[in-house]
Amino acid sequence: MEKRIIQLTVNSEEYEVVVAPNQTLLEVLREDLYLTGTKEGCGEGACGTCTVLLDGRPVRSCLTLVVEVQGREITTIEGLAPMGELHPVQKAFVEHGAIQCGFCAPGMILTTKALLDENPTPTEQEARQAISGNVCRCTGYAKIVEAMLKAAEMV
Amino acid sequence: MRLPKFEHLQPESLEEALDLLSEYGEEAKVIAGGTDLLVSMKHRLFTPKYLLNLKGLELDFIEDGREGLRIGALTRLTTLIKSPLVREKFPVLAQAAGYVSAPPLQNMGTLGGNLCLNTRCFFYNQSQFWRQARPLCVKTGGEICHVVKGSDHCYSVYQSDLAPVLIALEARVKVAKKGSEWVIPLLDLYTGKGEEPIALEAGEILTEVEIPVPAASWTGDYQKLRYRGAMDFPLVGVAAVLNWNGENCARARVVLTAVASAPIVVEEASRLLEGQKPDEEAIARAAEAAYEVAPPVANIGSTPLYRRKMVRVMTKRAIANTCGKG
Repeated sequence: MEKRIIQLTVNSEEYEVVVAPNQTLLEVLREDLYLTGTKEGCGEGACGTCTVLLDGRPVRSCLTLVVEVQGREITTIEGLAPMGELHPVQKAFVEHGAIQCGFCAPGMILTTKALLDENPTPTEQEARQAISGNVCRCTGYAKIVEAMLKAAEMV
Repeated sequence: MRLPKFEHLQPESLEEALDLLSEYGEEAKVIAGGTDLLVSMKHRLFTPKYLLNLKGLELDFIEDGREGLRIGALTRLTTLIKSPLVREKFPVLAQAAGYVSAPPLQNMGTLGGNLCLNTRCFFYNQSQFWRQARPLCVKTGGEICHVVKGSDHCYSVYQSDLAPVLIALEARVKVAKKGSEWVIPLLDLYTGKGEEPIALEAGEILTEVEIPVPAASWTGDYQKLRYRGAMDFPLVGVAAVLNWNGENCARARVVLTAVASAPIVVEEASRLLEGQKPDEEAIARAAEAAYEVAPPVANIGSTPLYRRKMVRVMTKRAIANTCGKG
């Protein structure tokens, strides 16, 4: 199994990393690029904490082979606040108490961003549908949906 | 969880992909969306030496022709859900695709991958560590079944949401291998054997789905039973497609998923519905016919008895919706 050098575009920055073919995008983000905002939950695609945006759409980084995403635009939670200034979706989550333990928050926030980019005025039903693949084990869904709808007004 | 080691192959064309597959045979597996395969590989259910990436091949298309709709195997589920062409011509397909898992996985998963889903079982879809506590089952190379004691064959369940709908629509699939390609009815893609549920040999891949234009006016519906409104595989799935001749049902196809190792066509339901305006009694009898042919066992969520009873309920709902009585 030969390692190879690949180019990754993460949060609009170019990275050159040495990877093995069996590494997932999640592993490389966390262990090579130290972008630990993206979390590993179940590791089998069921929980949504590892969500990143691939060309603007939410995907599971734990089920994405890193060698297959060269040349694609990858956005992690760190990319939403590059200069330390929170993104409106993040602000809405903070202001509306949508973050309890915080483990699901990166996935929830990125999924919300992708939703609002495509549909700036979602209904509650559409918001719930969008995060239907993201699990919050504190079960704070009511506040999360509230924050999502408020974020829609702020963006 | 880490993936086992493998070499990653990135062919530039379908021809090159088929060449590589014929060269490596059983040692290679193909990856499209990866949402099913990579989980299985993390569980060490598969440890292929080569993983051949199909993404990037020109199999991501939806084309309208005189014969019907042709959809490339690499078309994402999200594309199916949003495609104006699919929504207009085969709304029931967009409906079923919308029920698969959740949006982020629909962004990854493909039509071909969904049709080629491996069968599932509580005792099979587990980590290697978990499985080590028991002797090997039939599907993993052993001689026993942990679900049906005394059985010498595998009862794992085929749980695709798209297959029953496409079978009800009489879809065909194109299969390719090095030097040749052929078309088979989608139903023939399924062996009904839990051990080897998909009738593709090493070196063969599914490249395209063709859905013929239905002869008459038609309606369709898909009903899915699952614990949560998202993520879960179906505990029972029922697709119904009825062709109409005025108010009479000219042709009916009812197909079940998630109750056996392959989708099941309920032949008796067609006989009970065709040639008349289906009333409540006819629908109830068709649902009873579905109940009769569904033999779920205790290998996925819920209990076999509940799932079997729900076959009747979901079939009734699917047909009633199809008749505009939902």
